[in-house]
Amino acid sequence: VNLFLAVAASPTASPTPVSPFGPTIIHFNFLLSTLIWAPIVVGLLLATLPNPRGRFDRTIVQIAFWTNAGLAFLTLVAYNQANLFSSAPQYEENLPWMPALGVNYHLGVDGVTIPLLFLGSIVGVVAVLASTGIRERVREYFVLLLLVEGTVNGVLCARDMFLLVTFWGAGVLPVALLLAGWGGPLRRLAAGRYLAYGAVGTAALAAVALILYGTTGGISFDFDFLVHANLDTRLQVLIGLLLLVVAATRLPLVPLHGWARDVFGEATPGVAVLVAGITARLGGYLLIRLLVAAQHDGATVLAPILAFLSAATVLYAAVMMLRTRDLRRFGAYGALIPGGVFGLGIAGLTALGLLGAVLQLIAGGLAAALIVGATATISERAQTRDMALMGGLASRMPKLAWLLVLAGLAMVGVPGFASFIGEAFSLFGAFATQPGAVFVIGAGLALALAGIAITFQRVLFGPVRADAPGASDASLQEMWYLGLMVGVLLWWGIFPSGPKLGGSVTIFDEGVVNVINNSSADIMSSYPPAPGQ
Amino acid sequence: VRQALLVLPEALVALAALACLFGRRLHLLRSEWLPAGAAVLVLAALAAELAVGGQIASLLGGGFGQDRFALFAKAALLLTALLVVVATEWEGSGVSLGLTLIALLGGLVVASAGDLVGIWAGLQLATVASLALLGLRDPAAARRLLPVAGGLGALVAIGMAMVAGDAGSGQLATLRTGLTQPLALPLAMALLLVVGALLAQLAEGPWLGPLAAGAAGIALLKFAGTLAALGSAWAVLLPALAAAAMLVAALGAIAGGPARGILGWAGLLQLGWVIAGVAGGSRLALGASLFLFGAYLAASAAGPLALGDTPHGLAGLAERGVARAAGFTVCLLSLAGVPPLAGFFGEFAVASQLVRGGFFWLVALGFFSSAVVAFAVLRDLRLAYLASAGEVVGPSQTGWLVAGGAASAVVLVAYTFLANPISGLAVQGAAALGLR
Repeated sequence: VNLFLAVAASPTASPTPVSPFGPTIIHFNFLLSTLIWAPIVVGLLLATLPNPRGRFDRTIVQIAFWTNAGLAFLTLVAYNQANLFSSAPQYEENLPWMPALGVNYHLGVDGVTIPLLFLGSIVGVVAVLASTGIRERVREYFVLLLLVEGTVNGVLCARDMFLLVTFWGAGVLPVALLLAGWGGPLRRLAAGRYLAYGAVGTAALAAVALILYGTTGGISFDFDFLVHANLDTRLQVLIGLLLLVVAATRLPLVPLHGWARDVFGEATPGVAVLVAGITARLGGYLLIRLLVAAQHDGATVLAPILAFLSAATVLYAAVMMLRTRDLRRFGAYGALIPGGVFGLGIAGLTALGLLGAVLQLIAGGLAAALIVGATATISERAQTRDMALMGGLASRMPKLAWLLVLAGLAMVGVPGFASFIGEAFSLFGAFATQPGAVFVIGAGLALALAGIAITFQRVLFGPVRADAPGASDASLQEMWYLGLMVGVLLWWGIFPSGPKLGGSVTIFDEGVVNVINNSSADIMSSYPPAPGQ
Repeated sequence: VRQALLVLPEALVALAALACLFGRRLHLLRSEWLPAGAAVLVLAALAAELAVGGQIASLLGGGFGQDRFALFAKAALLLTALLVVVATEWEGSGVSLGLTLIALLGGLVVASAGDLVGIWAGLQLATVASLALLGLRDPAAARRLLPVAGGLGALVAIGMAMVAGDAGSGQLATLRTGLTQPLALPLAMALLLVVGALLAQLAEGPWLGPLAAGAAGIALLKFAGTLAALGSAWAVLLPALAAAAMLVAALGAIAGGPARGILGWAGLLQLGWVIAGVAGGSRLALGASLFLFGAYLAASAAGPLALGDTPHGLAGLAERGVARAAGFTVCLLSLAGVPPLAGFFGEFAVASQLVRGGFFWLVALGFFSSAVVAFAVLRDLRLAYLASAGEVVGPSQTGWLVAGGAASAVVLVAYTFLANPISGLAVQGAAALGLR
């Protein structure tokens, strides 16, 4: 525990803030709108760009990259300038849109959202880098990629249910088209499944919005109004159940995980990274924002169910990782684990659990993206996804072998990676209220680690098969996109409270834990303390 | 003078129609000027409507009423007609263009009619013009449709006469208070069903469907909105009608069909939502319906125009013309109610009012149907963007198709972003029908 505390440092922000580098340097009032609309507008402009015989394919890739790089810079500014001592919405924009129906263009972010925005922008850059190998219909691919990124930012920034549903639903079709158009032989099946689950999730979310709107007098869709409504417990449970459906279709959680294997197994590395890294995380974000923060009685009633689903998800993923002989599916099952651990953190309904859950949402997203990206890239480079044909890859593709090992370790939460802190906080935070689920998930993680060890032994260090197809190591772009994710996971894992000069003066990064902490603590302040706390 | 200006849009449209029909025959105008001239006049009519249509007035002994409903409906029709005029490649004689404008005029008459006679006359004008137009392109289809449309028109006339007889007057204002006998409600419903059938029939027409459908839809909304507060018969039949439209649309969409069939099925789904909004029975519900109907009109008019002829199907459409594909996509997504376009906004707004009214089952059915149609939309968009044409097919887009695609995309996106003033006007329009 002492070692853990030394690594994780204090999650409480310093009462005497020292401004890090960045605040007040850049300030403008439509930062969030820029994050949402810039990729969409650039995407639509690219869609109208004449591109005879793919002459401008390379330019299109560059435009997509620099757009994402610009967004990453802006989110870095937002992250860096975040007010650590307020749980109120920041960078807020609020304009009437359809006032007769109570719809506002209301955007805002808090400590929970800002790191997720940053995560989204990193994943965006990574997705472009991972997609540089796309050769067919390049323009369409990157247009769809940019549209997805815009809608993801829209979901994260929305503070109006109407806007939230709009962006949530708008993100489904581009992802489905990305799946349908590029990827493995089962890509159409994957697209169909993703669309089906996406439609179910969108319908359930729309139902939540309409129930909240209808039961609060049909006055407004604004979060600030809806989340403060005093609903009776039965209605809260109903809303909570619908939200569980929405979240389970995205994170995903058992039993609504049916799309994940095919999507992560068939999509291009870029799309797989994008889905695993950020779009899937939106389900968890929704649980925090609409269930835990708003429906306190409903969350309390449903917490054991969520814990059960989370435990089932981790256990299922671990068992399937042991059983599968397909490397991409191995990565796909592995990508389910962070969602399960996140669910446990939420189900704990403690401040530490929620802090861990948010950290897990971010770090787990990166870890999931890393494992599906690494397995996809290795499968491409090894020209097979059948583990029986792999063996001795460490000698044939040493760089990718290292990255795969790091991805596996990050996924199960080995100390040094940000996912370790997320998992540890989630498990510790949930232990008081959901001990059974904690034990099951602990066992699941151990099983997953065993699966990783066995698979890596088989794939990386076993003997080279005589009939194995030729293999080559990672290209520069592949190194960059996988390395970037490893770097961020290590940075937040080693400096969760930010690097400090002389042990006290924060430089560059206030620390992801500190950015989250105030908002997560504020959300949990409405709940009674857990036994023993 | 200011009140007289209220009929300026109708006058401009009539002038344009006459010029197109007779200008060339009388050697007054050159044929190549007609589309541009008509577009300018329709644009001027739209500007005039937006400039002076805000006032509330009654002319011609109550036969012509200008209120916010009329303003919204006429603006939506004129915008739709502008899209049609700009994005269609007209033949030289100007007759087709003239008939199109006559149909528009019929719609305008319906929108500002103060009594049942005006509604019926406008509806017939739009129907006859549409039939004549259809006859120019497809005489066999027109012959088939003629007895159907004639019969439906007669039924509408009989129904309206019975309703007027029961209420003691054909004035819409009188219907709200005078229509009290239970007999009147089934009759009114029969009338509504007939108008709905007419709407659906004409919406499926291969040529100029949207303007005729616009006239019929406005008649439906106006009549139903006027009588919405009357009683329980509406609360059963209107939701049933909406549910039937939604289910049929879902089944039709998933069954597949010709390239532009998906536009029709998605449009029928949206009409189901429009009728569902009327079933909501409140000012906000009908306002949401009006807003959605405006989006429907624009998308259903522009979609087929942007698509053009598709002898090779949808496969590889994007390769053959980006503007075409973009226009088709935007219209299709809006009709299917896929976020974030105007159709979704309207459907969600209708759903929110249905929830307030307790129609949870209808909302659930609507979402289900929308999800099914979304599947079909994905199937067709995958074809358009991701499938190869299969054979070497040259770019088949003309300047008109490019204009149509671009204009439709711009109009629908603008409709989405200008949702604030548009939805506000729609709600005021519903209030003008006497709804609270």
